[in-house]
Amino acid sequence: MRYGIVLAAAGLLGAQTGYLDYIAVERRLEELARQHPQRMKLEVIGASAAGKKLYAAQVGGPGPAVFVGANIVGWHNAGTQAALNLLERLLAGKDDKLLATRAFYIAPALNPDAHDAMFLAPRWRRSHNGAKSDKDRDGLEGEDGPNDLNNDGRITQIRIPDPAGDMLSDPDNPRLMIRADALKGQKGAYKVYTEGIDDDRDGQYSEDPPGGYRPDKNFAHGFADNDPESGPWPSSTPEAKAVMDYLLTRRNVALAVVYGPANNLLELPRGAGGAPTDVGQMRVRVPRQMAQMAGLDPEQEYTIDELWEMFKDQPMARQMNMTKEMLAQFLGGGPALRPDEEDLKYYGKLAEDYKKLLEKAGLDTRRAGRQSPAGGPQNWLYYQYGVMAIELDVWGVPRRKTEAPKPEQALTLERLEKMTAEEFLALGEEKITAFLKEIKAPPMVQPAMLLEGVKSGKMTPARMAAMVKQMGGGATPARAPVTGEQADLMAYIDQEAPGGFVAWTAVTLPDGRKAEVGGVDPFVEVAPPERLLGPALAAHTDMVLDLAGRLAQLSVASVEAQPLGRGVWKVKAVAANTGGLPTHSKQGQRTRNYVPVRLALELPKGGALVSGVPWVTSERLAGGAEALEGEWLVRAEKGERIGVTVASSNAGSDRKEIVLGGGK
Amino acid sequence: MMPRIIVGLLAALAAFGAEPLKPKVAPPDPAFNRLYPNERIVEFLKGYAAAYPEFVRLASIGKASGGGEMWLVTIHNPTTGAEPGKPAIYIDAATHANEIQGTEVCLYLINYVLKNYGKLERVTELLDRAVLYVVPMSNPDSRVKWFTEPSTPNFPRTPPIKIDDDRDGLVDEDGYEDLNGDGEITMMRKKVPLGQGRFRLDPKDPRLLVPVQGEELGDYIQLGLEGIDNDGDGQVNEDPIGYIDANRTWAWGWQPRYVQGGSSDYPLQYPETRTIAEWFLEHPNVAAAQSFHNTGRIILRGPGARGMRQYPPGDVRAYDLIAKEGEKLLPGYKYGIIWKDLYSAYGGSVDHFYGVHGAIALTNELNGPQQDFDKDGRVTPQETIKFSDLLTHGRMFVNWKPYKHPRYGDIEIGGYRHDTGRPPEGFLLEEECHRNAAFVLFHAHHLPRLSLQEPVVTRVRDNVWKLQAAVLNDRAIPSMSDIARQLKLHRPDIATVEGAKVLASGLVRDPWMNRIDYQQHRPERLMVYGVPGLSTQTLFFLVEGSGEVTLSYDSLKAGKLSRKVRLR
Repeated sequence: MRYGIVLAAAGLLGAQTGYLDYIAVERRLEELARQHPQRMKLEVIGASAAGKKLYAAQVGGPGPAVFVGANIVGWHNAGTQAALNLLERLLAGKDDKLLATRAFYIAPALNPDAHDAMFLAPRWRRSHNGAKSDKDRDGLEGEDGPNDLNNDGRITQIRIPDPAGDMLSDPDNPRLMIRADALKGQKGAYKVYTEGIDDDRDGQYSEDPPGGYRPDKNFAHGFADNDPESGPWPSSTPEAKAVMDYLLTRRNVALAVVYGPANNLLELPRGAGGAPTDVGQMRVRVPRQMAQMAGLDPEQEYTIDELWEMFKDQPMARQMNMTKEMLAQFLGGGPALRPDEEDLKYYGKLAEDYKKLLEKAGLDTRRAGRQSPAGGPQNWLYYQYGVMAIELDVWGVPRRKTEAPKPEQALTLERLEKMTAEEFLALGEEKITAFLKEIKAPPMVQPAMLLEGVKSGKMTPARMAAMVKQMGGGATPARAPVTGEQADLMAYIDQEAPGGFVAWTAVTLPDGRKAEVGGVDPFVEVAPPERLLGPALAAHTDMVLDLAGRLAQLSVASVEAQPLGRGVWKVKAVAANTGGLPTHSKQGQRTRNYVPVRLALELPKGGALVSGVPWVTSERLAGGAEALEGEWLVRAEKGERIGVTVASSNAGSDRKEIVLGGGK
Repeated sequence: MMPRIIVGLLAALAAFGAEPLKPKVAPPDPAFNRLYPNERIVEFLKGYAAAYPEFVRLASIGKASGGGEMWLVTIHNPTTGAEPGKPAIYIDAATHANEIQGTEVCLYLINYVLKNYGKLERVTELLDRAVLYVVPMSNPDSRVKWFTEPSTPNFPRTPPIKIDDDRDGLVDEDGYEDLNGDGEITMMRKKVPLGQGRFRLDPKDPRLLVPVQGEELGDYIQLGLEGIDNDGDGQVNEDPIGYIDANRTWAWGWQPRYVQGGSSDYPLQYPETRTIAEWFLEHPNVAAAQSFHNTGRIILRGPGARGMRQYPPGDVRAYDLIAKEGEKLLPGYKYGIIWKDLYSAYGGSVDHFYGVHGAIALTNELNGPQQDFDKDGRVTPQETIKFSDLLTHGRMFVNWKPYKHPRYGDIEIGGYRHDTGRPPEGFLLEEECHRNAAFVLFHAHHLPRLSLQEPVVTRVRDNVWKLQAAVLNDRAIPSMSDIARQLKLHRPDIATVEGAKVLASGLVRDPWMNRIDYQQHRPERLMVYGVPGLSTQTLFFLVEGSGEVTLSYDSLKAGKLSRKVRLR
């Protein structure tokens, strides 16, 4: 039997059914490709460290594309199911109109070597690919992995009584272990580890399991250079490299969805660190060599604006196609580390629509969403590949229903922007005080002042919100932190997934000490039973189809030719983005790693421009009021045809034609 | 009891016991006053491998972007031990293919060590105890182009990778043209009506243009390098082959193109650097590295960019010792830090070799202007052309000749040849090769060299013994660098005792006060986070046993040692 011992307690959680192991995923993809040869193209895009094939399926197009990549973390099998659900839906023939102008690239299982850890005994959350590595740097490889001490076919936790321990039973949820909080008078009594023993007797438990490197941490943005599990350098894992190479040869991708443990729409991305938003105002010192060449003082600080004025017309700058941003980076400025404000607006809009979809499907929207981790694919996609990138976890443990009345929402910047004066006055001082505290308003700003201002009509909530933003407060509104997640988990297990918690049972360690094994099943929080997974898959497929429908779409809005006499015409063309999303994210625009939107004239034979070049470009068309206009003086005869095209790699193209002097 | 002088003589003879290498066939004998094109270099490398097959191995480690082989030369004495067990230095050159003479320095180094092994003690010692890995041409395809196609002192720097530099949807559509067919890409200039230019002819030398000053009017414009507007977009030469700066595609501190010009879409995307990076993963014994570039007469270490990790002080000590001595061996060269003294560069080789592999890595910017005749600290265009006229008799400069340009009309084409400015003239090249090779030998001399000193054994009771042994590193590079410890780059040195039961182990912190840092777990595998340069770590073992035991010390970068110890 290919998998050896299959978990005896398979029926415990019902989590086996509804999930495909890797061979089953392969078979399914091949079967679908056989059944739909016209619609679907299946490609092998690489191989895992252990030699398993990596797949991507293309459906639809040509045109702007949505990329969907799943389960690179290895234990998010729900993501694989979501990707397959989308693929099957697209092949069902209901969306041919969409598929005529939109392409989908779907890679459902990006960590084949770790993918089956949910199915093999003992089950554990594995992320490492099939290479060999020495994760704890002791000269031995894979010498200390988890151990199934209580023979229940899964890896939970072990708690070892230890007066120097930092953990204790949670007084509110005695089944669970929490860190002792001295302020609450708690005292630690246990050390808690992943279920296992110290196989290599180095004092650490299960710190070097078999397996190599983590593809989900092997991307360049936020790469951890001090974590052996991330790999020696970004792109060293074949899995991460395959995904990047695949996407870099498909610049028609306009939006990426990562099915993984984070959720960028339940919790907007926050990024890490900060970067000066106005590059021009950065102050730097010019390195000695360069300063000497340019006649500047190496000890003095200049702003980037000042230096740009000096350098921008130098032949070297022109031949290097240098920009002010490049000069800033050349002199030591760094990369963007926070999502762009403009992009966040779109994330926010998508978040609203996503939550509506989930609510309609009966799924919880109040639960926490994790942030996409540094070194992960979502961050590479957004900051470096340069597209809107949305990580979604497909399903999460819902917040428990509470008997207590729903607590009133706290005041946030988002609410303030939209509320009427009456709503503001109804808030009451307490909420306003809490809000002022959260945005760190200066002490002289008092709730009474604000209430008075609104009452008298001198101030509106919207203007207040604008002022707060200007002062730099509340830039990326973080949600109020979600508390009580442990309680939600236990409530969910008790109601929906009995057996998802393993009672603490005694074991004896090799050195004779007594310990207990138990805890939460490794997959209960991420791999729900089929009946709960189904609605989540359908909702996410609907979301991705909706996103695809909103992608930027270029069109030539108008073409006019005005005769100036003597065979000279003023030709004016306007192109617009009629889609719901911009042609490029603001961060994408910063990367400049694409060909700008181009609006171009096709001159008739014998026609010529009086001067200039027959095109104009735009780095980004957001849609709405933004348009790309071009105006040219053309020498041509009446009755001749002029064509106008607008095109971009990821927003489609359009063409219109006019006859000079009217007529068809 | 032998007189000390005879003991000393015997010791010297023992070290000197090595014989000069007897070549199997006549070894290559290149001249070092000229630049050799790729196929000659490869011939020479094959020649050394054929002449000295035991000491030299030549292999291609992969193909570059345009299909050229990336040749690696491995040199060491195979009779003194296997390659992985020896400390190693890695040297490469011409990552920027136009920075051409690093290859000649590599050739000189290879030639020098092979022909002087057995004759010069320092060379013999190095090849007996260490390994030299040399990649003389790490951007081979563009190096061929530099020799065989019209090129400039600065082009091609990039490997021949297709990049749409001007982002117009066409790739590499507008590069330089040798308009006048003289085999060189030189400069274009044009005389214009008075007041339309910013330059005028130097009254003392019409080959030079000077910028207008004060109330002057100019009648010359500079049009840049030879070329035409191939794609009709109003720009000339804005999209030649490339542009990728291979020395911005390494991984440590890598940044994307909008932060670092010339960068890739992800680190090590292209074979010119990925091949070497993957090779490095298989060769953890490399503890030192040199990447040759030009110009500037600088010996550089990282960090490459502001905001990157600071180099820890223990490692800086090793860098300082080696590079400051380099300033003496290389007159006019200054030791500097890349971000501070040159410019911010993310993703360079020296940062990668250091931050990913813990190797003490330097990069020399070879050569600098030779023609400050009036010693005022500046080299003027007038001095440069005098150098060309009187020391090379006009070889360096192509005089201006009229040309009819399709867009610009009547222009003149002329300027310095592609093999000037950055590489030294032939008569200066050999000295540059020798001094830089000597610097590499000094750098390699300081690869960690460990020796187990006489152990001190003390009985505690019955069969329980204390065993203390000092491990001396009498060279400047540590056996595990600080950065490797800090970032967990590789395993530490491991000390073991075989033949007895190890009850406890640790490192002696203070021998006089008997203070020992015990290792809490698994004492039979004592982890030592390196012996710093020019320093000692003293091992401590508490063992139960009798008779003879074997004390071993296993360092990834400094090799394996062992010593038999009598418990008595």
